[in-house]
Amino acid sequence: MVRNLLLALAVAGVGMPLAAAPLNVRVVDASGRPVRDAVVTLYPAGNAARPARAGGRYVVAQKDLQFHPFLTVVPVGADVSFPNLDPTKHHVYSFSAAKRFELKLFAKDQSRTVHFDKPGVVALGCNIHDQMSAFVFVTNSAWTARTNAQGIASFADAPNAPTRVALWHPYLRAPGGQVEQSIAAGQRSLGFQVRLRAPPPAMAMDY
Amino acid sequence: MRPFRSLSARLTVQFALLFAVTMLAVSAALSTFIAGAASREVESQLQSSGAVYDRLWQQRSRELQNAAQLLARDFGFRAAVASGDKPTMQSALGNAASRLRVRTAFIITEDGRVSSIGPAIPAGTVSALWNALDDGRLTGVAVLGGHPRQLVAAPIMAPTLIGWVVFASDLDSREMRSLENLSAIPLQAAVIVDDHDGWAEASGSLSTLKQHDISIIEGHLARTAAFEMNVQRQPSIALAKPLATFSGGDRAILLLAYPKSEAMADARKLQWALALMTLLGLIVVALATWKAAARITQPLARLDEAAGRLASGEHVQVRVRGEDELARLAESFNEMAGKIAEREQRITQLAFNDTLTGLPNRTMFHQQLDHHFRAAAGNGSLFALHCLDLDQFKVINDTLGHPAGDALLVEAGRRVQDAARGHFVARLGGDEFVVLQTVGDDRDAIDRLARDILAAITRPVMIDGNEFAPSTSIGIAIAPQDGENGGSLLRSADLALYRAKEAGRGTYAFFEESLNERAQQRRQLETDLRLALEREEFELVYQPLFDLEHNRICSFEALLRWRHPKRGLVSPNEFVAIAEDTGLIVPIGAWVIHQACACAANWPEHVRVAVNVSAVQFHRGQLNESIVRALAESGLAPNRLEIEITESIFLEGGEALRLLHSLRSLGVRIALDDFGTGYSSLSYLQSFPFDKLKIDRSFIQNLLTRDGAIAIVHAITELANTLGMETTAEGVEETAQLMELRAHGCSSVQGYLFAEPMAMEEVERLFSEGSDALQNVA
Repeated sequence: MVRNLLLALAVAGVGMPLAAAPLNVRVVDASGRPVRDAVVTLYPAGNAARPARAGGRYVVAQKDLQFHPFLTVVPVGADVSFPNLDPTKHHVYSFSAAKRFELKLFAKDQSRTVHFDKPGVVALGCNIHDQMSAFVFVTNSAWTARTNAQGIASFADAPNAPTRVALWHPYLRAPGGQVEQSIAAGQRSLGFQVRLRAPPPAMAMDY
Repeated sequence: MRPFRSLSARLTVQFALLFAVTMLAVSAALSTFIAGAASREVESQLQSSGAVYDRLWQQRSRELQNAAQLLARDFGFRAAVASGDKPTMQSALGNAASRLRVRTAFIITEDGRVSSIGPAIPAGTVSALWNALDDGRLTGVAVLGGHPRQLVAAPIMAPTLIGWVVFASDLDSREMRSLENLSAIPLQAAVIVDDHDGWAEASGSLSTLKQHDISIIEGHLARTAAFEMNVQRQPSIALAKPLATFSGGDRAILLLAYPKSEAMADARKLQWALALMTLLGLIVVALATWKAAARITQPLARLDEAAGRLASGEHVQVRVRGEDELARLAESFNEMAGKIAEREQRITQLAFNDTLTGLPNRTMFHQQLDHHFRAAAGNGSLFALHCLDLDQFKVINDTLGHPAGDALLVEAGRRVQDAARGHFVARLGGDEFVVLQTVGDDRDAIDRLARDILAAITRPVMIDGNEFAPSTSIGIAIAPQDGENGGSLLRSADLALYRAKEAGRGTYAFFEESLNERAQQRRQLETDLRLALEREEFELVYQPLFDLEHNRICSFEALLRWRHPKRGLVSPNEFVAIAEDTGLIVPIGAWVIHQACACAANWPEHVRVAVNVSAVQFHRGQLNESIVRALAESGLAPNRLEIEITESIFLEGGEALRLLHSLRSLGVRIALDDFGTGYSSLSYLQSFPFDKLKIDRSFIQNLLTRDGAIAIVHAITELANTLGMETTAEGVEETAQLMELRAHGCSSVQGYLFAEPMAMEEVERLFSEGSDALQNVA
């Protein structure tokens, strides 16, 4: 579902009147292995910027004492529902600046919806089950992509302008979990080498 | 090593040294072992203290960690941290810190902001802490506000990491003291930290750590073993434990030290005790060895001393104790000393006693004589020396053999000793005995003793079944008047003895000064006699023998005369005895034979010459050679030479007959002179066919006056005729004698009636004038 969204975003970009060209961003870790599920966001300078298309419904379910999916990229203004598929109760919360909320102890098959109206990373947790963790990346840029298994995020219609490239990953070792690079207009490829923290043990199963 | 003067000292020193070496080795080994054991004990104490500290550390860490985790999970706290609600955060931290009794606690957010209670944390420290936390470090030592502290952190997950809550527990002196108190031994604990500015003691009871000490400590960090170092200028045993630090570059060490003096206090006591025991043992061994050595060396020293006394001539015996080798040595020593004494006694006896009679010998006699002289000089007393000589001992010895002679000597010695009881009696050798008599006022005692001795000797004695009547002569000299010393006194006594013998045997005589004069004359004569031959002072005179059958001179007897340059003519009676004693008779006799033969060669054929030969000459004089030479040189026919011998030649033993026969084999005639006196024995006539018997002049002189004299002369001439021997009567001075002799068939006569002895020239003149003068006499 996320892929489809990204694909849709990418396809939408292709039809842009601005001169556009493909950009491949490759992310590797300290030992050179590809890093997947890193979110790359392009912020072209000046009027080349373009917000992501708002709206759309997203689901982050709680099942088997885990959030599904682990990472959800949504545009600003998206509504995300949190259905509880477990027999237990969950207390979903976020202390993230982008969106603070608490969904207290809702029971099985109850679903609550949260509206994300600010860009940023929202870290989700459950106050009952410490091991439950998930992220909602709220983006305000039309060029937002996540790396695949090869660690590559591809933009078919990257703006032909000096661009700030931001890279975020849940376990990235950097303040705010984010690093940035700038590229000149017309640059077609970019590489990031990052250091990652070890994921919390309970979450390793998702990887 | 320097030689010892005493065996016991050597033994003592050697044993003590040996023991000392052994004890020192054992002590050294034990001491090392004790020190090692103490070291190991201290080390194990240190190790266990270290282990205790580790446990405490972990326990504290866990406590803090649990608390930190509890706080970090608190939803409200997380909400406060996530929302930056500082008052809430501070109050929550303060609450937890006071519960945990820590004075410092803080929160570092994921983006590097700090919210703390307690001392403010400088920015540099914050970034270092953040890096360490970001590296995942949750415990460790770090220096905060200049003091080392034990930090424990817990991540705050909401649900992603939004920061860390950190509790810091002080590692101050109080903490170190509590650690020191926990230990069973009085150790010193300190934490030293290197936070990039070099090592420094962060806390603890040690105040002065030098760079040198640090390097020692660092050197031992890798190992877990204890090591030695100076702590507060005291040698100590130390253990260094690396402490986990919070920041990567920092280093921290927990140092546990134990002053060696305290650690080794017990071991030292043990070592002192050991040293004391070694010393005591050494003293005991030295004393015991000394005593034991003395037990061995005391008998040796006694033997040594006894041997020294033995060497200086004492008669010593040592006490024998026990049955060991030393006792046997002492016994052997005693035996040896005894034998030496015995031998000494025997040597003395041999030296001073005569082995045959057991009487003192000449050596001892001389000592006694000297002794008597000294005594006499001291108190003015007199003493007499009796010199004894057994009469005819020689005859007894010759006829009965030496064993008989010896038996006689032994018996004589015993008798002299009995007779002279109380006086010193000695045998000087041969048949010579002496008696030393101390004389008081009673000079007659000397005569009495001499008579007693004579009486004792004269008693008959049985030897080899034959009874003898021995006799002795005694010469007596009285000291000091007859001699001033031993030699002269003995000479005087000897002269007196000669006189006694001259006076007839079996008597005694005192020395008189005239004896001495005679002796001197005799010595002078002896000296002159030696020169007489060279000086041609001898001459021969010839006395004719008248043949009664043919009434003519048939022979001349050559008679020796000595014309002394001062004394004039000396009688043969005076000098022949001396010539015989000195042996001068041999050359003189040879000269006589030579001279007589030379003279007789000029005479008519029927005239012989007669020469007297003494017994000494006969036995020792190489008589045959002298005769052969004289005959050869003169050309005289052997049968014209007549050798006159006396019966004394037979006294010398069996040789005489053999010598007579060999003389006869030369062809010379042999006449027996002085027949009928002395030891005359008819057996001689039977054993040798003499050519002539010369009847002794004593018979002729008494021929007309003594009854039976004619009968004896008759018997002799009859006997001679029967045996085919001629006879010559000597000393015929009267015609009446001549008548008787002719009547009884005597072959020839000799004497002043016919002619005195005459010189050679007269004889020749006689022959040239004819022999009528003598014939007329006849």
